[in-house]
Amino acid sequence: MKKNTAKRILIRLGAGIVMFCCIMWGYWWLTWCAAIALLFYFPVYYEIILWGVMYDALYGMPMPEFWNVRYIFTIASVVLFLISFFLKKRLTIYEDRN
Amino acid sequence: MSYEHKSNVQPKRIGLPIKIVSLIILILVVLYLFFPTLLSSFFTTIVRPFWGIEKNIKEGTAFISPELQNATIIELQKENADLKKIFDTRVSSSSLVAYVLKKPPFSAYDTFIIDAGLDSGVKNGAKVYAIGKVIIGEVIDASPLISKVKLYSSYGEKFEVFIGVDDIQATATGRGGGSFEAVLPRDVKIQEGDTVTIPHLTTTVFGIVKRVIADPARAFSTILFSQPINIYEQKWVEIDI
Repeated sequence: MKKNTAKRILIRLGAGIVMFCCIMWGYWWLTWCAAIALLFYFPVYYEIILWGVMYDALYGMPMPEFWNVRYIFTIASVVLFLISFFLKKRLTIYEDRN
Repeated sequence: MSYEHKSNVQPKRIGLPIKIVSLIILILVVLYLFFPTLLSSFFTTIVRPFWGIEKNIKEGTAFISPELQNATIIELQKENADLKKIFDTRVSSSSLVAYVLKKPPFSAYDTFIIDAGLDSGVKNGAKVYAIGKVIIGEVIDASPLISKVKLYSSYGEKFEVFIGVDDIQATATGRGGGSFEAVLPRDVKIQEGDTVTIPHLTTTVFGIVKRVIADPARAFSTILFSQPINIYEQKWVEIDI
């Protein structure tokens, strides 16, 4: 039981380090594909909101096509988290985990 | 048929993750309203040493093999030549040269992240030039150590330009990646290869007309032009302070 918990923590830490590296050095589309994949891999992935905040803090700027809102990735990450939260309740693949 | 007693019916509760996310959103709103630059400064301080690794690796002394040494020497010579070009054609005596830490497509927007900030005298609105005195954008967010440069070719950006020999004024719209478009009446005499300049700025050519799309059914023609430099290849930029 303890081994499983430790293994899960290590996987989560490793995923966090990979995401951190992707945000710093990776293509933006690759970073967000990885974030969405991790969002559905882990039962509850709060870290995606951190990545959205970090991405806007580092690269964010007001864009005319997004009504000059600067925090697009923060908003998108919150929306993705909420969508995944409600989707997981309805998908049978997550029933065992719940 | 059995019916649940009302006392046994559990009211629907908001899940714990939703409560946590609501709390996080509240904290973020407070931070963005009252401390708008706090998060940007915090993450920039953490990330900046990692961004500078590819630049600092050339200054390392632990060479492993002669091949690596030779490759590093060639890279340093190229960097030296680029810097000489910039210094030979400086926009003004009060300009600053900065290294481009991040550029498209590694950032989601058409922006550069440069390693000069408020501490170096960079201010919001400062014009940014590439090699050859070609204006490419302006600083939109200057923090103490780094700055964000918004390129004029960012998608949707609009500004006034002069096109062609007759300096026909038009509104250019950015299409991303150093490309622009302008819409003019079909009768204007614009040809491929005509130069584009920016009013009020005494710089060299801003863009070159690549294509003129004139549809006989329409009263307007679309002028496509791009900058004479490749923004994806820029390593050094000059900021007019």
